[in-house]
Amino acid sequence: MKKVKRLETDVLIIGSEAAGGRAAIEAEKHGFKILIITKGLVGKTGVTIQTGLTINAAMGFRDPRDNPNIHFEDTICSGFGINNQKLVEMVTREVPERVMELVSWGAKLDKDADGKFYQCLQPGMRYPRSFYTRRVGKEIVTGINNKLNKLKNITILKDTFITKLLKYDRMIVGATAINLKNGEFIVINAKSTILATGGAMQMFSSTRASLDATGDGYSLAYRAGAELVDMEFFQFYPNNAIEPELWPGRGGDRARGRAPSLPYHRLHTRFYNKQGERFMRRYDPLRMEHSPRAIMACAMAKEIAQGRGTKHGGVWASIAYLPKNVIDQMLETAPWAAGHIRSVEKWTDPRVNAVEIHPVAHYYCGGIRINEKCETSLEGLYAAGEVTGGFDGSNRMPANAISMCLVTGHHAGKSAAERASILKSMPSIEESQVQAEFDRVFGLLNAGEGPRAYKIKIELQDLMEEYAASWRTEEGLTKVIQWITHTREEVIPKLRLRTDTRIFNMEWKHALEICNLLDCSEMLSRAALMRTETRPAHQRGDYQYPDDKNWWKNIIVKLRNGDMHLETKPIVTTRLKTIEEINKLMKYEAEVEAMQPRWWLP
Amino acid sequence: MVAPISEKKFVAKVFRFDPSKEKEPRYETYEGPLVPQMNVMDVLRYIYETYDNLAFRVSCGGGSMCGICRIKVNGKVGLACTIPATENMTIEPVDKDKVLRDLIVES
Ligand SMILES: Cc1cc2nc3c(=O)[nH]c(=O)nc-3n(C[C@H](O)[C@H](O)[C@H](O)COP(=O)(O)OP(=O)(O)OC[C@H]3O[C@@H](n4cnc5c(N)ncnc54)[C@H](O)[C@@H]3O)c2cc1C
Ligand code: FES
Repeated sequence: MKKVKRLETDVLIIGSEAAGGRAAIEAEKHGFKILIITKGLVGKTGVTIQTGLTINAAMGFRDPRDNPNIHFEDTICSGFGINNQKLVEMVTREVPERVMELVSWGAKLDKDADGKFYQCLQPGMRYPRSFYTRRVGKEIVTGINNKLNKLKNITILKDTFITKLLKYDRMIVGATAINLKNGEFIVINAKSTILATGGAMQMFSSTRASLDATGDGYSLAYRAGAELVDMEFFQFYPNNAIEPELWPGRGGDRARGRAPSLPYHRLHTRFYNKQGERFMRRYDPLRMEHSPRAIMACAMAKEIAQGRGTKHGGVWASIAYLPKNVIDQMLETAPWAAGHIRSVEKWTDPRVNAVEIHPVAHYYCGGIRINEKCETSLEGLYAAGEVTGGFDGSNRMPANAISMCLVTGHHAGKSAAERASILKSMPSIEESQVQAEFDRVFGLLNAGEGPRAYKIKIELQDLMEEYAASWRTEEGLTKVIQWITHTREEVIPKLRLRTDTRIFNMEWKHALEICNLLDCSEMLSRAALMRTETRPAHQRGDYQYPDDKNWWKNIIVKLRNGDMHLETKPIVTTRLKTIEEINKLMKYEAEVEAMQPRWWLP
Repeated sequence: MVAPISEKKFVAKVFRFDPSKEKEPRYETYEGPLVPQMNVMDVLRYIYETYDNLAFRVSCGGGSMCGICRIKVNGKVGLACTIPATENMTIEPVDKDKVLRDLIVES
């Protein structure tokens, strides 16, 4: 092994954004040495900076009836009862404090004329709950970094890609990485390690999420033997404009959102299939287009799969049913809504025409299994943020992601610091693991003729989009799994790069990322194959109904004796002990929500 | 989705430099289809996928959300994913003295 750098730290945090940044702030409080690693730049890499508009905390500024108990119940209803209730209790109870502290660190959230915070109602909520500001991601990043920059014991390594977690017995003792700037191999020895690596939207060809969302953390945890949960549940956002006239050769991701769509629940947008039918009446007659995201994404996928989609494989979204003077009045009184109408106008007149839309990969509900201390099933390994699983259940409520990132970040930081305080000395590293990983990583840095990582990624994304997105069947999922196995065994070993430079060799990084994406896609597909029912965010064309009797449970995925092993575990419950209770609550929740007034976002 | 048949072409003169292998920076010229709504980020990704392992920064991929893709096009600094592609472009790093490789600068 040439050129190896060795580092030691009390707490290693992989990921620097909403979850990782928050974890660092907490761990530092206890006086330990913290090392944060990001594969890009702080505040720019990952999904947090893209966070659109909203953060949930049940503080009742707009409706005093709202409180953490109702936030808890709504979250379970949105997750169709699959959620880990202990995690939901924790997040809903603690998030008000987390949001207020973020504000105290400099994040600006909008207030109404009365000086109180603005909170809006979104699908799945009984009462208005979402703190709001345009480009809330920028505010989150600002708040966290204002605080981080003031702390002494924190070192940040940017442009550094973690390739493997190091293990000693059942204990995680650090990780290996490469410095993307110069190709240096780094071995990090740590008492505690936190994974805060975000999602895996890049499994699919349709996504607006960052190109960095390649699911590295799921694969790192899986390869180390940790348990993952709910990997079949992937959220699609039911509203992205299709741009048929655009050139599709953009690395497979075809939903870069250049053509704007009409925000749906904030503009009273209606969805129609190709026959002009307002199809949501068959899926959620009470709430229609205000239904939870996963119900709408699955509805759209079903319309399309059953031949009722538009020419370009989507459905229609429209506000043209509103009289002209009503739209004019909105344009005058609601600048946010007006801004959207104006940007759509550049493409087509929304007063007259509908926009063609389709669902796009948005958020991974499943992830690394954690408890309320954010401990994983491996000693010394903690997880926070989108990379965790359990909180969302089968479908994430709008604005709940950041709430969960902040609260789990806080706990992961605290637990990691506690462990660092107990361990007297640095745990040992097995050098044979380091050598094996060095060989793997530098084995990929190999120039010549052969398959290219970015081409494999496009192939994977297209397959996943077709067979593992919002319309899944045994036949399709089996095809995906076979392709993944073949690619991993036959194609990856032959991968070649076009240049073997060690300086910002993007193809090398893409080669490492595709290995991770293959692991994530296999976990998703195998769990989806096992779950022989339909539950929003997991729609099976061959099992079209929910089966509470057999499937009110979680699927756990882990590596066992070199193979991907799946098993089921009972749902972790606190207050809602049976699925009957939850189903009753879901019905009630929908009724209350349906009666709420809706308004244009001002 | 079917790729449009495009008559128009872009010609991009791109700054290239790998200090670990080359003494001097050079400019390389690449061609490709110029289609409606195409931006400079599309051009860079087209070059990466069609020609060579070009180094440039990208994260959110569009919509000027992350700001990581700052670049100089025809002498003007902006975000690659928001600058429209044109028939003739010179694409350079924001500061040629701070280049790590190709279009990536020390940040
Ligand atoms: C378009 C869009 C809009 C959204 N809007 C909202 C919203 O309004 N409200 C809401 O609550 N949620 C929203 N979400 C979801 C929310 O933004 C994310 O779930 C959340 O930001 C995830 O934060 P995170 O800290 O877990 O991960 P990220 O922000 O993705 O950060 C991941 C970190 O891990 C690092 N990393 C990853 N892999 C490696 C590796 N191998 N080595 C080293 N470092 C690594 C990255 O560099 C980065 O620092 C939205 C998502 C999208 C895509
Ligand atoms: S890639 Fe994020 S702003 Fe251009």
